[in-house]
Amino acid sequence: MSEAKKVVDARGLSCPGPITNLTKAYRDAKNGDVLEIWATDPGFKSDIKAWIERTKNELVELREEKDKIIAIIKITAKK
Amino acid sequence: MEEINEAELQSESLERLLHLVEMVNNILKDEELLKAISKLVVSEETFLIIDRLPQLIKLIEQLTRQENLEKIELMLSLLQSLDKQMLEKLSNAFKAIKAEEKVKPMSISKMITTLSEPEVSKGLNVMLNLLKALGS
Amino acid sequence: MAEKKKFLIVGGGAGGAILANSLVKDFDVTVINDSPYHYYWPQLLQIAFRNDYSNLYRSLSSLLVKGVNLVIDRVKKVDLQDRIVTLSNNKTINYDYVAIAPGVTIEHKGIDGNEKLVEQYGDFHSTPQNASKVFDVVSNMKKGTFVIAVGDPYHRCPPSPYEGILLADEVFRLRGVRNDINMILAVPYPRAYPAETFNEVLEPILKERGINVMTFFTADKIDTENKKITSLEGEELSYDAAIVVPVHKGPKIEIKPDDAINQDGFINADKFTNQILKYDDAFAIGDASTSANAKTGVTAHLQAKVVSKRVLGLDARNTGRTNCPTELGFEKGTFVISDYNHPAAKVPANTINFIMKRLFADAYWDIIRHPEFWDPIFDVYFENTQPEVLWKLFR
Repeated sequence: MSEAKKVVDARGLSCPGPITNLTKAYRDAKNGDVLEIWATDPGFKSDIKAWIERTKNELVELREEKDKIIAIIKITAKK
Repeated sequence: MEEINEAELQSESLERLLHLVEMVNNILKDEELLKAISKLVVSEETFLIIDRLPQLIKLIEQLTRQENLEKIELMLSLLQSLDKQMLEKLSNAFKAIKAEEKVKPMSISKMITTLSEPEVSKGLNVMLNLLKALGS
Repeated sequence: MAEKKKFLIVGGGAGGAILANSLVKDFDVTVINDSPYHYYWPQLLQIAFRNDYSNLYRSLSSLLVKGVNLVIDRVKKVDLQDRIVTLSNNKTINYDYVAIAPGVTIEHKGIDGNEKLVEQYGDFHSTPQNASKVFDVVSNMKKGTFVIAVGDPYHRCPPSPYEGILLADEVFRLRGVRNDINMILAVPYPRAYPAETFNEVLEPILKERGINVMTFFTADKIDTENKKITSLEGEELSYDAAIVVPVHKGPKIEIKPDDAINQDGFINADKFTNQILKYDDAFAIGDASTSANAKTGVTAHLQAKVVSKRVLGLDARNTGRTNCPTELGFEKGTFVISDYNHPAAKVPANTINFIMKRLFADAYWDIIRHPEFWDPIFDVYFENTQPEVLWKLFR
């Protein structure tokens, strides 16, 4: 089973929003995969933290760059 | 040729009319829509408005006279300039006066002590600034 | 007089029909639709919760103005390179311009167990038959847990799950069984409604009506034996009756070149112009297109108007305007109004908005048939209800 790294580009989206794109990528992902989400919606930071708390996956990194917010997530809790 | 065009135009108009009738029919068959409209039309508020319509019209007439409009606009800008906290304090002060059944006379010495209280001197300063602005 | 150019429209839904009627003066227009009927899909909610079939469909030919050619057939393939459309019997039609507007494909099997679930309890995103099953359920249920869960956030009509749960609540209340029924709305989002601003309007209403909202719950597997839904996020939800909003995919049409469609079968089109890739003679509008930021008739309608202007040489562009009428039950309604530059405005829930919604619905057929009559009215409406304006009004 190969583990993949995938970039989810959700820049410029606010509704339904980056979390929706993440959900879509999560459906296709498997444990061990790494998802990198790019977003510009300022609410994304708190939303992603809440998502991690609920799904018990691993937030590897959450940082803000000049033009985007980047979250790197390791999928560990998928059943 | 022209006759055909006329016939065509007439049939088109007739069709348009039928479409409009269909739409009106849809609306009239929409029970919930009619219920919502009647709810909106037949309510305490609308009764009140209908009941006081003559007074309301008179009031609107007065309010929309040019000279009154200007004054109202000034009042609005006055309202906007007022500080909410200050207004609250003022309203509390009035309530306090009302609560104290009678305002008792005060001796000069009491007055001087009262004047030296920080809250009083702050309020006095506000009042003096206001008086100054009015006089200028 | 020079011969008119051939404009082919795949799909006779809201977008396709309005486009055809807007173009007929300047083009030789042909609409290809797989059914002789045009469905007004929002009516599924009215069937599901009110047993009202009145506005469900009309014959497509009665909605197209004179001069528009109508072909009832299934489109198998569209070749953008060679400008050829292939029909089910392998007959081909060529074009000067094409607009692809066939809507979505509903895939119950996209969520494990949903095919079986929909047989039992129906849904309000697929067919009138399934919607009528929902009506059976809500008019007979006496106690237990009633669930509406969203399995695909990219479903038709963004407010529909909320309308569904609120209209179900209305039915239960009117039947006097509401106290014995636990109502749950499960959504994939961090809050009840994905757009934070509109959530401020909706969440208090859901709360007031006693509807429990489960956030971060994307329905993934349904165990119909044990009556349990498992979410992608790893949680479980038990139900006595449940409706899971099914997965939506793009149309079942082969489109060449391959990069014209994305992995879910939706057609890649520019969000401002609806143009497909580099083909300036090909457009995708409405639910089937990635340019539709909301899968709603209004979006298809506005996109059709943009395309009809662009092919006449005007530089019209989509603003991303949405205008989703939302029924809340008990003759109250609101609208989800946003555009590319503004999040959904906080349009309050009231009776006037319900009346507006219903008037839109009752005028729907006339709006399709007579763009020339309605365009100026809508221009004024859209101008005066711009999100920018509403944002100043409702803070």
